[in-house]
Amino acid sequence: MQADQNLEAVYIDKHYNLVVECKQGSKKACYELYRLYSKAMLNVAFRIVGNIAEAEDVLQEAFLDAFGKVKDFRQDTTFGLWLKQIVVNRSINLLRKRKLELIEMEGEQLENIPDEEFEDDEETQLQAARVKEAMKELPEGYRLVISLYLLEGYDHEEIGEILNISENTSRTQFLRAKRKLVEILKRKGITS
Amino acid sequence: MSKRLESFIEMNREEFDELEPSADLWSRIEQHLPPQYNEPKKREAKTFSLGFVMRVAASVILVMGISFAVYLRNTKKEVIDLAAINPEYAQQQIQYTSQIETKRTQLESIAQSEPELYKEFNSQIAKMDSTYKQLNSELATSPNQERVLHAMIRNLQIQTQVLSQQLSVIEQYNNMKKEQKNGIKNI
Repeated sequence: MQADQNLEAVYIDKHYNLVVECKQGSKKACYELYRLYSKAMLNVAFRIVGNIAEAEDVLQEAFLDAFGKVKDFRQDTTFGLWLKQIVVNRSINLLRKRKLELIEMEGEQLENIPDEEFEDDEETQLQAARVKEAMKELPEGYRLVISLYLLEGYDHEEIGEILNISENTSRTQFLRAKRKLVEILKRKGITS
Repeated sequence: MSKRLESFIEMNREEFDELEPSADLWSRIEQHLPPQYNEPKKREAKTFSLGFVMRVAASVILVMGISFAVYLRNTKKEVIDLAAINPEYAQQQIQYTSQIETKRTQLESIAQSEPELYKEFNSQIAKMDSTYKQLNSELATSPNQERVLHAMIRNLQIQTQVLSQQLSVIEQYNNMKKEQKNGIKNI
């Protein structure tokens, strides 16, 4: 979110008027907003819930939720960020229903997890498709934190709030997740 | 690797959003939209109905027509600047019109007591007045405005004279009546 929020400070929502029309009850404006944001939001939901059918359910509910309470949306942030918050919260609620132990390391000592640099960095050929594949192999808790941080752009403070954990836990969990991800990538022979 | 992974994802962010929502997802959402999006009244308020547009167009045309007519009238009046044709006549015109005005109100005072007489006198004046109005309307388009204006002044002059005579007739008539009364009293 760091990048997003910086943009936020500079640019006003280019779809501001569309949201105003939507507030006034225009179904057409709602459809436009759906068209603009559905794809990105589906991917957000998918990365959290890890299942396309459930991600679509989340998306449907999130849009209905958004259109239902758009009148109360004061537009002090963009519709995109506001909607993303709804999508993320609903996705996480779904995980909670599955009784996932999101973070099993509360209270654990923050033993230092070195943010190591890998010697073979230069030879590592990263490919988006492979990184995505590797992310799917991560345990759900790890995937969640790494998605929120690296892809959805939330910082650790925000992730802490979303997941109801401390900022430090989020940071530790993220480092572990990243280490795990690199391991998977290596195992898959991405490094030569 | 650590920072590399971050910057790699940042650079290739779009490639991580590869899933497309299924085509029928919107229709599923549409079915469950809150009621405020399905009230036709609100829609109508936003898009103007044909009838409303026609009514607005009609009133715009009407207003334009009226203002054009008013404009034409004003310009016509402006064209007939009597002082520009002949300042002397213009002054006379004002003089006579005000004289006629006062004389006609004097004449009106007998309308109650002598309705027959008033009717007679008034019709004479009305005839002349309509001639005057005709001249006045010709004035705007006349090639010789001074002549028309002169005729108008003559008309007013005659009107004044006729009115004066009528008033003196009335005065004589009234005197006669008084004398008759006195005569009766004297007898």
